[in-house]
Amino acid sequence: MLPVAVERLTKAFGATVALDAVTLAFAPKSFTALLGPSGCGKSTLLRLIAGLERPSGGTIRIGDQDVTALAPEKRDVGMMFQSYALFPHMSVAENVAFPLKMKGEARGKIGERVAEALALVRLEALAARSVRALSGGQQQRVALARAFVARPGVLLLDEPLSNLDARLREEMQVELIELHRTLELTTVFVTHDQEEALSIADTVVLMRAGRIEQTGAPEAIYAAPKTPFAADFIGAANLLPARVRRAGDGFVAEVEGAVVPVRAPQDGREGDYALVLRQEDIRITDAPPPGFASLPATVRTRVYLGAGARVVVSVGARTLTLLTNKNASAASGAAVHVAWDPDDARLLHPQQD
Amino acid sequence: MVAGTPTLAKAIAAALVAVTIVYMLAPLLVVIGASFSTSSYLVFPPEGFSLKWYQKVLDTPSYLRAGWLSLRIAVLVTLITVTIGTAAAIALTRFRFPGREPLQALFLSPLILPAIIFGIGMLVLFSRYADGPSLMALVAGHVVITLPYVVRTVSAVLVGMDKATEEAARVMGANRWQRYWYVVLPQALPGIGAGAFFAFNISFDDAVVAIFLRGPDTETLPILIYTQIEFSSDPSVAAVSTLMILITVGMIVAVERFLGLKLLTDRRAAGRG
Amino acid sequence: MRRDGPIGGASEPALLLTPGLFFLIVLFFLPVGLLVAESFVTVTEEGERTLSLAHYVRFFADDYYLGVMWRTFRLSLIITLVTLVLGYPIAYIMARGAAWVALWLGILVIMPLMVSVVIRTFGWMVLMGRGGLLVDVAQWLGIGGRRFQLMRTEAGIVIALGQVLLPFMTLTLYGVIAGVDRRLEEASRTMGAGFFATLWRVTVPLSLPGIVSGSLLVFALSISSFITPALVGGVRLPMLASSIYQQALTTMDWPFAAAQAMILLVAVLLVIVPYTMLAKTRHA
Repeated sequence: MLPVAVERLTKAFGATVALDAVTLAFAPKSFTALLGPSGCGKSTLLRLIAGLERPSGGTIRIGDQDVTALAPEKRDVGMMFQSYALFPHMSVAENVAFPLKMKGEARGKIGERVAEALALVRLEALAARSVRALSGGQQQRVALARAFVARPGVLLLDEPLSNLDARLREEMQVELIELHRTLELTTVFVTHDQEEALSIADTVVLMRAGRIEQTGAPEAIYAAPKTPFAADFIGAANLLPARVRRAGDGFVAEVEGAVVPVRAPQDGREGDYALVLRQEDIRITDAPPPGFASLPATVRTRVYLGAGARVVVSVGARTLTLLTNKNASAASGAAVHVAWDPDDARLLHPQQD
Repeated sequence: MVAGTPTLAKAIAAALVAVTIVYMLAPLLVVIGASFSTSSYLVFPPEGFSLKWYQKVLDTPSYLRAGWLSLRIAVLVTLITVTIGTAAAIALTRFRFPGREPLQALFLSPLILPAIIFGIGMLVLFSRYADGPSLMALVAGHVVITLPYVVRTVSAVLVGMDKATEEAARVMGANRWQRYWYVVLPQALPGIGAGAFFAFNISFDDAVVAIFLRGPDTETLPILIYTQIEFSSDPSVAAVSTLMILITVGMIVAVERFLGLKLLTDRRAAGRG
Repeated sequence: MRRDGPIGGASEPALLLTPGLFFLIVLFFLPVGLLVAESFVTVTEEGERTLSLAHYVRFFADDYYLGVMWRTFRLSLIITLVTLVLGYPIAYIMARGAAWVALWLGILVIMPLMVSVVIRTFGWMVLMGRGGLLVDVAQWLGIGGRRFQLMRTEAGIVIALGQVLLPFMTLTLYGVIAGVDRRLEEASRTMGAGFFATLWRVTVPLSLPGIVSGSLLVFALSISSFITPALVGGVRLPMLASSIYQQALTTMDWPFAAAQAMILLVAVLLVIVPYTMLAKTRHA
């Protein structure tokens, strides 16, 4: 349960910069998700912390030790690989015992701690089984047990749930949270799934093109994305180009030829913005409530989701996606209005891709 | 076969299989059969049944000496080739470095060269720059012709290995030697086993390189058999050949038990003779 | 891109490759290089060693050696065809038959391959020698007269060497036919093609790379074969390899043996280079 800090950490593969001067601190016992699309540098960051890649610049500290030049085998880390990387020639127990054996622990103690770790992932019964004879979900648990059995200062998880089917993934999310609460290990995990990041981690680090886009608690980052990219990646928000100007005491925005009320932008300046609307904040209505912003729209497609429906509408030349409750009727081709509370809409400075 | 194979095709298939079985096994069965003949000349079908030619093999010092020599050479060649071949395969599959692909081709190149050309080259080399052919020359020659097999079988297994297992071992505190001992070599074991089989088998069977490096100290069993059958001889040569076939069959059974036969069907460019 | 993290040197692969490279350079390329050099060396009457093409000229000017080369290529072509005709159906049955059929045919094909070629040839010598079973059967069938024999004949070489090389053809073809999508054959059957029409119009064309590879391989192995042609054909019917052996160990004319070895090597390379290129594209 050591703190981890990276400073101006850079990694270039030839001409490609995978990680660009990233500075970041992981508090002891924290559970951090490195989130981002593929190629954003999240896995590279994880592998740099583990020591599996040599940084092009910057430093890495684990606890109060500078480990930048230290070989992975000398760092106090545990890592779970996306492919699980189980040793196919060993049994479940032998796999989990491996890090303890490398540390030179006494045989009796190894047995004890392996049993304890396997109990935590509920695999006691399969200890003697060959790992090749396990299901994907069981292999995933073995890999997890093997990563934490030696109680490393940092636990690194590389896409730990990506090889599981949807149901197992949800189950394991809960188990990971509980395991983290029990073990209290500083944990960093990499994922490209924003829902997974938000539900498991206590801190989310959103990355893009080798840099950190935004860091914060899941609630904060969801509620207040700082960039259109963050808004889009976390929560799949709708982005509409908007020209904002003062009107009386407040501000209004021109959106697709209509004028809607907006809250004041953060710096209070007029100009071009991206109007960010979350899917669940938009409703279809014939009579927008007072104070709401509304735009005329045409229903294109309605996708039934059971608990509700996802509706795609056209607003001028743009497309909006919104979630409705199951009662909302929206036939294809119908002319409707979409409306939202201006408090739920955010104005962000547009971003170059 | 695809459903709806006509009877005619099935009949043709059965006939062809029968012909092939006979064609492939005939020379072996003939040698085995002739070894049990009571006659003092080689004949098939054998006349009567007797084990006297096996007794004669055991009573003939030249057979025993050649057999013992072949066995020792094959074991020595296997040990050397497996060691250096496995090391090379590890380097060629687990590391990226400039010139890797040409080196891979280089290590397989002895497969392309006809053994007879290699044999005469070795003869010239050892006659010019050493005291002529020797046991060491023969061992070295066998190491060279068996090296590609070990490199190929071990590489094939290592290429299929999850590279992350080594990284995992590293993160778990295994140093370089521990990674070799606990992770890489155990996973390479099936390939090493198959390579060892090829190395032993090829060295034990080789007559081409051996005939060029023939000397008083290097008369291996295949060479002795070659000289015996060149001038027709009694069935003791069939008996000793049968024993060699038996050793080969025994090894195939062992490989099948421990590794599976698939590893052996890859003997594409062997052909020594 | 280096997979290794901090520490862990580039010296590791170099270290691992060194013993193997030592053997290859000192005990493979050196002897072969010496042989190449030897083939261009002529010893003058004063005992001086000079470079010349004399040995090559001698080979190509002598009808005897041209005959040896012609026999080598002609018999190898026949052997290639024989193994193709016998090997294709067996490979097809292995690829499309039940699993146990494939396993047992596989064992049948591989097993003789693992037995020393000297012993396999020995078996043929017993069968084809005077009073041998094969000769008796042939006479009983009325093929040959009273003086009919197979030893010391080209037919004998083809029969024996064909058996020695058949596994290479079968295994190469098996690999390719097993890779032909079975559904293509099924599709052909649904479109009205019968079993043999499908075999001829779908399977055979799709396995053409295997047919070419297998044929190149068998041809290359055949022209460089030594043991079987030497024992069955004897001194009167030498193929290239036996001729090289004669020059090297009986006449002790190493430069001439080396020149013949180079001619054989060029022929093998002409065949094996397309083979490896084909094998590479197949695996890619």
